[in-house]
Amino acid sequence: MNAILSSPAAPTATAPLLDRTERRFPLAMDTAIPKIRELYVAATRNQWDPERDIDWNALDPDAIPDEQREAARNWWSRRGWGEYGAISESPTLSVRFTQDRLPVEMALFFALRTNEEARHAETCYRMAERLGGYIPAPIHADFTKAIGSHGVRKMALDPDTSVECIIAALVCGLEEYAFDWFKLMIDTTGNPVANRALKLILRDEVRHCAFGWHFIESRLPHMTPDEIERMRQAFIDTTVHVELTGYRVPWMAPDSPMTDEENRIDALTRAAGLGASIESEEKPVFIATMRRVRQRFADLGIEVPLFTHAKLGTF
Amino acid sequence: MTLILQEYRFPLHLEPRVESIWEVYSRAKAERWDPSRSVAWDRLDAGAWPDDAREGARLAWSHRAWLQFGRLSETPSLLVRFCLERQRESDPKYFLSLRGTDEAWHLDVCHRVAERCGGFVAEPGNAAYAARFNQTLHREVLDAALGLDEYVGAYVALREHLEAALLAVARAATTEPVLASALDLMLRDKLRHAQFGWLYLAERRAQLDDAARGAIARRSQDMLERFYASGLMVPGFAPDIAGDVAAAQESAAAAGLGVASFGAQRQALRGVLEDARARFAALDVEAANLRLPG
Repeated sequence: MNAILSSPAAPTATAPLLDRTERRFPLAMDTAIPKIRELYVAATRNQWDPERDIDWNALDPDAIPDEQREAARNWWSRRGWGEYGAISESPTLSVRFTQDRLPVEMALFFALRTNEEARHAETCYRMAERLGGYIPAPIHADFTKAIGSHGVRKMALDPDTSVECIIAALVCGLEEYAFDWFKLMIDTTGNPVANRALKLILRDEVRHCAFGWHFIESRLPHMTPDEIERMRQAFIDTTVHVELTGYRVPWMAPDSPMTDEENRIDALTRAAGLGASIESEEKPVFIATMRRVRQRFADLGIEVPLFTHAKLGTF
Repeated sequence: MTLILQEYRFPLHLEPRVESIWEVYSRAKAERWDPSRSVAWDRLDAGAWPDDAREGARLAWSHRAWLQFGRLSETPSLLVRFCLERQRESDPKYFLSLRGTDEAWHLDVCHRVAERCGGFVAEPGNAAYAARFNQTLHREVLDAALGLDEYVGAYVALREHLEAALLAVARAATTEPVLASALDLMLRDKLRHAQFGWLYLAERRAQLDDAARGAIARRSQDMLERFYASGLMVPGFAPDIAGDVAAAQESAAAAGLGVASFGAQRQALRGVLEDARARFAALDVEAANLRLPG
């Protein structure tokens, strides 16, 4: 467990992985996980540019009622904050992959993935700007806690947290939940510019999710029962303490004036066909996602328990 | 024990702020390529080359890959460091996310060339030389005790500037068309990487105090020792432990297979270092004493 130390100059944190001596050789460059190599190749071939591949001029903000436009501006700003976590935290996984001497295609793919996440953040920023201006911070301090961090940087730089645990939690959990959410939004987002943006993001997310499963599947034959149990628990803990507390959508967070406001923003954005989802539409999707993920783990011989949430019941 | 900064995410700036760097980033997005498709690998006939030239190219391009591998951890660390610093601009973050893909592709290309020359060589033949590659730059980048701007000065601006010069002289010496095309792509990227470093340093000029400027100069010389005097970048500077790689480069260079001779590399470095001294001087960084080996 990393300790948080402070200094008069700037608060700091430990990062034990960084104190490990590098051992670069022998350098294994042959493909060990072909499916991840294929993802790297596919990512290279499916690059896009938020500036050039979305017809921003087709989005006429003046044609949108002010209340909806302002809500959508908020929503897309929030999406940008969420995407930023994959720029400020997840790249440390590349450090972890190389220092743990994992198959090189993992770091190769993650280099592409990091750029994709930056594209997503740029896209969200451009949407918010088009709708009236990007908002750089939540109004409510509490909200910053919900979206501030999923802790990946800390875990990646902690050798005592296995890569399998991190990937199971981050990718097989959080990214899978986000994936079906994006699919739902694409179905309900009528504005062509917003729809295009969501589709391009989703196309990248397909590979991000696949990466996690391919890695876990490659590792399972080499893991001990204890290691598999820790990985299973990491997935469960992240689902319970990150996803189900409102990391991705405010309606999963405990009710408060803040979540009421965020839900209002989501509803207005959704009504305008500019993105977002609403609780009533997303609940069955999320439950189906959990069913799907549970089955996927079951196919690997890993049991995922039922979860409980005040608004979802037991699922 | 290495400590890293703690992140304070908000207010979160995603808007462009440094026009020059945003332009480089935009250009980089437009100049995307694909190692598997942008190079005509089917036309690379290494079997037609003399054995010594082919073996030389095999080891020379493997050496390039050994160096490039370090970027897979360094660049993500640099991106994260920018995010951990309070209120740094968004433009470098966007750019560095792209730089990481460039470097992944460069490594991919180097490996492909080595494989086609008879097989990638997984490690240096000399253990002492191999140990020098363990530079752990990802640690230095993230270390809160070391400044980000000094790292940018030494390891982004100067180091990329020198590496671009090495790629340029290698490209100039390359007559094999497939390898030439690969180097064209790599060089185009590398020139952007160097440009980013100088642009950002210029952007930070007003924030650099005497201590920071002194640190840039010190770390720049340290970088030259670690990466050049050591023979890491140019094996010819360390013939005692990297003589096999140096000889491989000479063989490959003589056959126009993607590498320049030691003499050409040294001359190129001297010229570009002179240019770098001038650039540093314009930023009030005392760099007159920066020295390359030999």
